[in-house]
Amino acid sequence: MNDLDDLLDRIDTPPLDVAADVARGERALRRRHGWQASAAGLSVAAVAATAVALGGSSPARDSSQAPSFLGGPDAGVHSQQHHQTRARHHDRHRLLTVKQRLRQLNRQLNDPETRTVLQTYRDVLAQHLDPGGTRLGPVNGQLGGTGSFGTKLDWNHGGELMIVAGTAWDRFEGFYGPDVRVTPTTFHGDAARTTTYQGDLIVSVRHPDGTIVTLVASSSFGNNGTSASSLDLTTRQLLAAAADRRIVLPSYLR
Amino acid sequence: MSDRSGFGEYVAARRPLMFRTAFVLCGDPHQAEDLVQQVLTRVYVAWPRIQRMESVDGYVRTMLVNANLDRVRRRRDRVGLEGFDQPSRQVDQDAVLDLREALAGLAPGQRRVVVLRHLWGLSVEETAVELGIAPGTVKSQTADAVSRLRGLLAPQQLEGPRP
Repeated sequence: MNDLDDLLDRIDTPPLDVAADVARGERALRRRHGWQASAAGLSVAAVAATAVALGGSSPARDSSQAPSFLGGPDAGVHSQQHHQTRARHHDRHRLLTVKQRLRQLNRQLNDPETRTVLQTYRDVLAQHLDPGGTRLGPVNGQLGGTGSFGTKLDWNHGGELMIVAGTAWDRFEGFYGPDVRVTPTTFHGDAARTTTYQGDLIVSVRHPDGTIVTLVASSSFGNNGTSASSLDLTTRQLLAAAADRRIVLPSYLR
Repeated sequence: MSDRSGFGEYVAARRPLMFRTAFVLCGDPHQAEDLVQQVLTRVYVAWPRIQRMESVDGYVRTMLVNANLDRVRRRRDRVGLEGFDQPSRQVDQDAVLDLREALAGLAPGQRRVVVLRHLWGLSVEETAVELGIAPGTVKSQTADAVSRLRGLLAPQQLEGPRP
């Protein structure tokens, strides 16, 4: 069966970003409890806690050194040996990448520009999509970190409006998926893509400076479990908002 | 902030395995990443309770499987807007496509066995208990899955050098 194990080992995994998983969990937790605390402060605390947890240890360590959660009754000797086999395939540079990215994200969260840029995103979206000021929620978190940047906003009291900016199309492949019928188009001369998926509206627009802005409008807010009565948006409206030149990446990502 | 110590370590240790599990279950890297993110978000929220469980791994596996079932149930045709040209999409690497197609060729039961036996390293008996089937069924499904994957991927994939 070694050949099958080798085959499964060839499944490339995305770069490990513990801080991003912690940040997503924190956002879900805050929504769940209705916390009003600053997302940036909590995220920084979460990053710091994670960095401490990872400090001096390796995610690739063998199971004899692994924390207790790995040693449940159903893990068994076979599992232990198998985990050791898996661990050999984690290399040191991946751990360094985790730490580097944690430090980078921490710096970005502390950077006053982060909050300013996200607020600008929110203001631009409000101007295009919510001139009455009743449907778009406040900024309460950050998405991305390396090569992409954005936030999720409450839309129409329970829905979600996500904005993500980056400089490469492949950063946004995940929003469309490999088998989704994407519609290439242009919007006032800018290259653009649009699609719909399960009622969600998804658009991307590439600005002349290379910045690609993606907007995803959904009637439900991800893991929060809330939903809006209606989306009440059009693809054209989203394209216009995404094409707004005031949406730029923070200087540390350009 | 509530105590979520240990969550970061769990993610660092288990996320690659969770991704591979999700990939085998759904056959798509983007959807696999979505599944992992969804599950880890729920795990984080419930971490104070989950970390006290006898088998965190078993619970997380179940969450992954259920999240994938929800995804399949929600799936429906995704339609682009009318009046535009078809896109020029980036083509994945051949190896990834081969693997994806091979995994898609497995029956759901075979996929689950592959996940538990070859990714999570459970024994035949442990797999049988988790799936609620006889050990003999685990053995036969494992053999069928391996044979089928060999047939779909041989010879270049299984005998080729490690990248």
